[in-house]
Amino acid sequence: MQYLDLSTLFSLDVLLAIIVGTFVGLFIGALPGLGSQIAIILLLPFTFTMDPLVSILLLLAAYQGAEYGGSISSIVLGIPGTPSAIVTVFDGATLARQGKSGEALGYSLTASLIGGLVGGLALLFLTRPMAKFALNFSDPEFFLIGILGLLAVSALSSKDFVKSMIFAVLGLLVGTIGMDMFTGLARFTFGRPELMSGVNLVPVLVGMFAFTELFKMIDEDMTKKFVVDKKNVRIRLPRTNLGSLLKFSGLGSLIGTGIGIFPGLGGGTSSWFSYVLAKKISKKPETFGKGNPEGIMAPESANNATVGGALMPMPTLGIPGASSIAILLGVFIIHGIQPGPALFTKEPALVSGLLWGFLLTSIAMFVLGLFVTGFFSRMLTLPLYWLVPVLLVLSLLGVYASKGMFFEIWLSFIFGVFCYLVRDLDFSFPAFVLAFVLSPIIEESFRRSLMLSNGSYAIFVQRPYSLAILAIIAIILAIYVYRKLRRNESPKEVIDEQKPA
Amino acid sequence: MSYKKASFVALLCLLAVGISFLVIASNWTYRTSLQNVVSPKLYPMGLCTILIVLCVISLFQTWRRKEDHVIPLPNVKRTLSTIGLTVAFLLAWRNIGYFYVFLALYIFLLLFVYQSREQFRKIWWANLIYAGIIVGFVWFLFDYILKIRI
Repeated sequence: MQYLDLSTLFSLDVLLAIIVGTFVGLFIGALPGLGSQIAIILLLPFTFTMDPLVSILLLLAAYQGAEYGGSISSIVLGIPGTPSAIVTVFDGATLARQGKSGEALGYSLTASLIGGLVGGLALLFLTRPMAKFALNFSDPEFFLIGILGLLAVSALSSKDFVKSMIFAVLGLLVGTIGMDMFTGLARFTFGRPELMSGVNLVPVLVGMFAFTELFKMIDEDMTKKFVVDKKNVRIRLPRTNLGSLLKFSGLGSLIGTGIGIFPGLGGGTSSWFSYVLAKKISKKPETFGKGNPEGIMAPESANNATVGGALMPMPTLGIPGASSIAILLGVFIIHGIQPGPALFTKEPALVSGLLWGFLLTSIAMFVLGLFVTGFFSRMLTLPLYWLVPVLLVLSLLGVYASKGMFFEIWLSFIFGVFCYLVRDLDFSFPAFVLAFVLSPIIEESFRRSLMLSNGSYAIFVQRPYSLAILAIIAIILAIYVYRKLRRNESPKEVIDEQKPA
Repeated sequence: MSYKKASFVALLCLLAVGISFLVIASNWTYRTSLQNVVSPKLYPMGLCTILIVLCVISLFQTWRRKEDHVIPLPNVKRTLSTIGLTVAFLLAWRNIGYFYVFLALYIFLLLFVYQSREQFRKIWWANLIYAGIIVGFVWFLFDYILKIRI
């Protein structure tokens, strides 16, 4: 009964990792502008010496914690902590303005728990059938799935598809730096021995997300002080109208799980979608935006359920559903574990620990959230000038801690400056990360396919599975072309479409 | 900064990267005892070609674009100061050593840059204590807990 093997889960290391990860995730998520990616990235360098399961659960706990943490500043300050908590502002901040911050936080925490658990259960019960199905895939399919993931992320993560694709290709190209896996040829190493094993994931991520985000914060008014209603931030769990609230939470959870599976959509899309749908089915749609708890329950459940959904394709297909999950995929690879359907037979204990551990991260988020939400809410008054130097130092030293190479600090910093300069030009950072992480897998599958077929490209269109994936790729491209043509026809409509409200 | 101009500069830089990587990859020579092996040049050269094509398409799209807007850079001096201080800190740490001394100085100077002059004059002592606390935290986390010799 490897399926129910929980022996790896209840060790001190694992439980401590979940608590620390949740705490860091809640803290970083609560800070306006910093999301789950930053939480994961700041913890990433410390995971290299850890056991794979401990490190993955540490990062997953941070991811879950940050998804809920984002709602704290959304409700208390009216400023979303993470992109997926934008919708929570409408009803959460309105309730807070009515002196009901504690209640709004209670709705958000309960909804996040339900979303996390539903996502976790879906992960638990759907990954194995998915992995079984994925065993039918071979190299040509894995190559095409990689391309499909990149196309989807590029099409959805930026307004400009071509620029997104440029960053995706750049990510793939950076992924080729280092020694070639088949011939030992040193590629794009420029004589630097540090580059022989390739570009490390940590400097790329810290540069792209942490430094860029910090420079963005520095660009803002750093002396600004937020005002918090300190009296009413003590969390109050919902006690009335539970049936109706559970309905909306369930709806959000299902939407979040479903949307999470598709690469590139993520928590932002699922929370918007569930909010709109909740408003449509609500008996009081006119109260949405005026402090209706249903408008908090649905999106908050959705963004936490998205984590479980986004995780699903990673152990089964080796393809992450979101850029934060791409970082987790990188952690697997750093530990010498190749995610994919074979993982279930090669590392059954790790998979069981991961699937059950995910449920534990949701529970930890709820329990810790009960105790620290009030404290973090009060801490939001901390001005940025105190916060930025600490995060800057932790980012620099985090890069150094990962491999002890000074070269990587320079690499990360230069990369960060470059990304800061191009951050408003519609290039897609998630597409870059996904491409960078997937590059070795895509190249290996591509070259092995060609070796199997004696150099014939027909191998990519011979099998029914390949053809099905190619059909999905064609549909994505057709949707992009259709939307592009529609935009050209009615420019006003596009502007309206891009405004999420 | 104009969006169009910034896009042109960024795309031209990326185009230059694509072309130089393509030239580098085309000059690689390799030997292998493996039979039927696919050239290690094929995949990177293919990517470089796609990158070049996409950059050209995007340059054309940017050129044809009618609307333009200004990308706001409200506190560019502060960002440049942060970049300058970080480079100076890294150089000092690498070449002179005394990591914890330079770290304290780096944090103190960052706080000087981030606060208004009046504010800094009022709470300079608090900044000094804060810098000391962060140095202590860094020592505790990296040196004491993680055993990383910095």
